[in-house]
Amino acid sequence: DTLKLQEFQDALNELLASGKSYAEIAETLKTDPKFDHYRDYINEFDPDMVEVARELMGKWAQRVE
Amino acid sequence: MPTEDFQMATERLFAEERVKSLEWSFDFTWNGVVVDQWAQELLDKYSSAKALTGHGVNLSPLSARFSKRQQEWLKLAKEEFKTRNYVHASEHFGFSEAGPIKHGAPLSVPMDDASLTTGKEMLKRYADATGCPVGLENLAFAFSVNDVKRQGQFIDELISSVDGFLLLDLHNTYCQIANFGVSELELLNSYPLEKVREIHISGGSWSPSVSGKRAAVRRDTHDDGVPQEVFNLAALALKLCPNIEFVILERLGNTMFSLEAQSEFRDDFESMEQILELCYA
Repeated sequence: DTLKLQEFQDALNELLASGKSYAEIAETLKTDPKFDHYRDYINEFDPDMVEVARELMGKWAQRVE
Repeated sequence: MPTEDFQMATERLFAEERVKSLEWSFDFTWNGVVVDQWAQELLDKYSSAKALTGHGVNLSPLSARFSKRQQEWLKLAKEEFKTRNYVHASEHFGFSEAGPIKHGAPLSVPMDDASLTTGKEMLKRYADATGCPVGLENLAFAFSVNDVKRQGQFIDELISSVDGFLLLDLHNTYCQIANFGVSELELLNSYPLEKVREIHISGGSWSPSVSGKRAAVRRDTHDDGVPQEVFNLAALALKLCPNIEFVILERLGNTMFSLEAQSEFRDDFESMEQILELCYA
């Protein structure tokens, strides 16, 4: 389970900081198999909060390099 | 924030000895930021008086992978807590480091066994590094209303593993009430209120709703005065939480350059003083 959580967090952070539009992010959350393990959790996501997270990550995310 | 505007806004409050405790985001300087002498002197003064609390920002306690950066962060925290005398240490619920991102916005987590195990392990490391009581601050951000409803019990399970405390941020609570329409009493009572040792009050801002589900989205930006709703929540929390020791007024640096904003900050401080006097008279 911890590895599944790692995979989920990695994919979510990367997606939110990708610079993609809200619509692209929402579609990826629905269809990317990386999110399958937490599908029930993701299905609860509020669109406004996904947009807030996208904006915040676009503004503040620092990549490892 | 040890910035020029903060100094201008608070100089009078410190001179009149009205500030009884100080909170320091101790990892603020680890990116090479230099802290001015006036701020160093304040930190030393409150450290000596055993009135200094530590507030970490970048640990990312719910990250599933224990990274080299986090290991280094804990080493630096250990050194910091040898240097100054902190009453306790807090951090933020949630994760920000994962994948290619080392710092981002703290986000909520699936509240399952994997997250619980991860969080307990990190809190144990944090307690070992600081050598003092550690606690978690409730998160304003939630992906859904279920995140909001689950967070209190989940934080309780996490902090119980280290006999820790809850830092109840009332603007964060206000964000969730405004954004998800939950009852303030129901939300407060979902937290382990007997474990609250510290509360935060602050202001924030509104941003547009992309979905149209709500008039606007409340954001925890710390860049404005404290709204009346947060003062009301503070008065309620002081009645409901029997073990509060610290009340911290937060404000983002470089957001108070106008004399009006500085005066507003002092007014907010005075309002909180009055609430405390009424609650503990």
